[in-house]
Amino acid sequence: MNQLPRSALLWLLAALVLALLPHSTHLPWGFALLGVLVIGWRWQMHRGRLPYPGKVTKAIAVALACLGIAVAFRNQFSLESATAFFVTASLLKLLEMKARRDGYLVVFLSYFLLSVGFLFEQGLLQALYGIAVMWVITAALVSLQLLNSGQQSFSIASRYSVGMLAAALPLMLVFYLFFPRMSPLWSMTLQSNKAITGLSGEMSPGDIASLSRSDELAFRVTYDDGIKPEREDLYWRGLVLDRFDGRTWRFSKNDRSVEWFPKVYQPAPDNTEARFYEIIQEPTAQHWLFTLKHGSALERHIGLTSTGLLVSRRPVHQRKRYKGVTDPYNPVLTSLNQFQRRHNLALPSDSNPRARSWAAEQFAQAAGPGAFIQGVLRHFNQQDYYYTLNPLELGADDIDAFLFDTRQGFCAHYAGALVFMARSVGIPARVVAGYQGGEWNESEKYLTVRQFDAHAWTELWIDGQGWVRVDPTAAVAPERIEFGLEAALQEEQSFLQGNLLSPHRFRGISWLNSIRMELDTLNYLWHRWVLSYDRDRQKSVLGNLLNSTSYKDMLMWLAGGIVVLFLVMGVLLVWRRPAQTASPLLKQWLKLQQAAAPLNLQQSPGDTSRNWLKRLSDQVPELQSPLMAVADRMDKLLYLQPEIPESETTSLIKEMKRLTRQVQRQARRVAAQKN
Amino acid sequence: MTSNKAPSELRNRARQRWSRWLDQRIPLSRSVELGHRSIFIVPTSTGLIFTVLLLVLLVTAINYQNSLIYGVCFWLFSMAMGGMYFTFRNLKGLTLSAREAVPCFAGEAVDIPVRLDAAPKRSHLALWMNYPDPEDDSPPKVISVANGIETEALLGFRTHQRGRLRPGRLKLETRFPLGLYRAWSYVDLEVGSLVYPTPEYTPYIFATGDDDQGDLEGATLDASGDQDFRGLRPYQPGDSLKQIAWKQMARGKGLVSKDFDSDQGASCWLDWSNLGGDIETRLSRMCGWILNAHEEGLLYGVRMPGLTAAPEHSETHLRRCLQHLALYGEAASDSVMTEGGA
Repeated sequence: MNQLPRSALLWLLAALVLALLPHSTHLPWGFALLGVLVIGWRWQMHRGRLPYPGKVTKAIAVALACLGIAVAFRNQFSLESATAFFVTASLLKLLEMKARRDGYLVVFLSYFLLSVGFLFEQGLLQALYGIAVMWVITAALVSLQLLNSGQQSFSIASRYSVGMLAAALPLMLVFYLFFPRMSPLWSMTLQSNKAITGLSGEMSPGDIASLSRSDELAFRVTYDDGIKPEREDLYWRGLVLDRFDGRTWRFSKNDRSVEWFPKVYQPAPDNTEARFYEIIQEPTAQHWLFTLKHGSALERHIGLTSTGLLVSRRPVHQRKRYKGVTDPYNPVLTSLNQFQRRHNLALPSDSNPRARSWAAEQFAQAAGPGAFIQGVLRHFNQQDYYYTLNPLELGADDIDAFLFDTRQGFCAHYAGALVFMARSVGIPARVVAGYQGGEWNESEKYLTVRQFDAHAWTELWIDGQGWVRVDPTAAVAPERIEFGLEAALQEEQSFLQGNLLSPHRFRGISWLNSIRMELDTLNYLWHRWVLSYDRDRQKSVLGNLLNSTSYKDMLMWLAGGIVVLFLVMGVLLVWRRPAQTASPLLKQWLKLQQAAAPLNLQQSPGDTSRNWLKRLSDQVPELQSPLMAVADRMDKLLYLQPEIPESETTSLIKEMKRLTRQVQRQARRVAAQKN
Repeated sequence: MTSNKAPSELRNRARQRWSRWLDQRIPLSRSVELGHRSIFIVPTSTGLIFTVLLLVLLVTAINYQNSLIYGVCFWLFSMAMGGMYFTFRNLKGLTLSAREAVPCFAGEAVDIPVRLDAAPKRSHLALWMNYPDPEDDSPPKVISVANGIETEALLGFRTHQRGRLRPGRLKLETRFPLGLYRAWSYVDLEVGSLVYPTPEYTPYIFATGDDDQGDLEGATLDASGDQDFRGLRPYQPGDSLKQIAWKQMARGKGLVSKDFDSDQGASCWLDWSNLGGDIETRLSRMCGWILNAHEEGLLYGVRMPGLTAAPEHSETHLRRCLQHLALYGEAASDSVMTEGGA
């Protein structure tokens, strides 16, 4: 009774394997081996070729598995190692799965592992895959109830699984929309330690170049007004790198203070110049967010730094949606204090002597800081400087080597060199890292920014104007700013080199490109409407939809959903299907029986009509002969049917109709006598 | 011991109230169609574990702000809610009706056939049925009733008392399809069948017939009931299986019956007044006599209160006598019963 039904085993194995498959991307290959081993073992047990493992075997297996996890993850406690633990536990559970109870546990673990898989991957394809796996796991759950095996129970399990999942969709939707989305109950220290492609907190000359070889998504932007922005304005500020050690630019917290929402500048409601946008950013595991210039923090847990950047209170471990603004009325810094000035002028004392002396020479000739910078940019533009993804190796004093020897560099080289020279002549300067540009999707009006849009530029302090953006790359390779990286690297043919299959390499082929854009649109809609449906999005959607955003209303909707479900279930249960239409003969027969109801003659199952008619005629002897005649005719009709003409049936029915009236009269009389 | 008394009394009272309530709700009947009055449903312990799973999923979804996990959590929740309907529907509309069981002797186990008719265009799957017996925890029968096909379940029941077979309430339970809910019903089916007294085999005390002899009449006394082998004769329809000479048949000599010398044809009277003990003991002993006499092929008559049956040897006679024993002391049996099992 409480044994695991044999037919369920196949479903259970399939459910667990399918729930585990997505984990293969972030678990070491040893776990695949473990999976194959355990499932093969369990299958042999099912076929009776291997016995169930004893206590000692199980203990050894558990010990080995724990050791394996500890070794594979070097005792690190991360989302991956915790997942590995669950995966191993559920695999080992298979070995001792004997009772129906164990089957339930495996089913629940499968549901859980499938969900944990969504912590790592949340694409549209993964979601579709998840739906299929939900079906298999639910079928496994159903099959645990079915004892008989074979084709029939297989089809019952799969049919009921589909039916129940489909029936659950309406209520699920109500809950998805109306269940109040909360901020995390506690901060999760358990996070993935997978390496994430993206900006890092420091910049050596080659860093951004290597980032530019990736076509991974960085973030998507939707403008509230839907108007395509100018490419030249799309400098997405991520980090300010203001500390230089002779080779690497780093970001520092010395020079910045953070003001958190809502104690930060907010555009006035009647401000028509402000452009609002919404960013859906991929996880970076870092605190920084992205913003255009003159931005501000518009949501909780987001702050604006004194350097004009957005930061999140918690590292962005999950895809994050937030609003941004670019507002020309946002007051900018107008003066640097002593400390800030010194910080933005600091240079290691003895590096790159050639660059220093050349800059000093230029500065002496120029009419002021502005003219000096123009001069440097003109120098970059007119001399044979090259913009390349594959610059030559640079040794010590790399700015010297770049400026005067190789003259080949990527944005980081030019930005670094410009800031260095500016600082050396006393102009406060800093490197800004972020992304520049992006791809505009005309059909859904959004901007996609990918890793190859990563960029570095500079900001120089001009007294009276404040921080002024200067992009030396624009002087060397104006195409990079106007058309993007691909155009800038057209001669070199190095765009997405080593990423041969990237769909972005085929932008030139129009039909391929349009397919790529369609897919991207799909992904965008998925990210925007499903994945980033968080607290604020919920508020705005429900606000638009129902003009109400209070928790009380949401709970009312949830309760309403459940009440409606119960009503529907109740109606379905009370509603009777109409009985199958009976043949005229059967109808007349039932009428006859009803007529005799006062005599209390029940026809038990297996009782023939002749038997019943005989009992009836015992009670009403006056009608004995016609009743027995009907019995004869019915027997003939029911058991010799093919040879009886249709007219016989109708005449029998007529006869029975007559008899019914008589029986009714007699039955009443007899019943009255009895009382 | 005294401390246990009060709770057990309370429990008894509770049980009585429960059974009274059940009697009102699902009265004794030959056939019961399960509806919302007769089906009960509660979550199982598996259902509670499932709730824990849902909570874990919800916390994971909130803490990782993961929409897809929210989706899984709500989907499973909605499915569990709807599952209540599916489990309930699995019993709803099912019609149970009792069929006659083969008569048996008190103390024996009897298989009670219960016919199950599906509701129109419905199947009822994975039903667990049994007559609950505190002394016997053998697993319930698992039955599936496919759409439109009537099914019969044989439910074991250990009889205790002679009389009409009153198995009490049968338990019908299902957890299909999710196992998260348990829907069940207790159905009291009227089983038209008899339980004969437990036979107690004691030596005959033959009563005097009309001619005051107090002995077997027409029997060869030296044979004294032992069935001596007399010879072979051709098989006649009606010969019992025991009489067939299987060895001869195996040798290819066709159907041949063994003929025995016996008390067959001797007649006697079995009289209630010759039995000692209380009524139940006397019934048991009478039952033993009748069975022995029938087995030995005697023509036996039975004389007891309410029944005087002239000596005869036939199945009908046997049945009539045993029936009288079974219903002894009960109100006169109605006509349906006397026809039983023919």
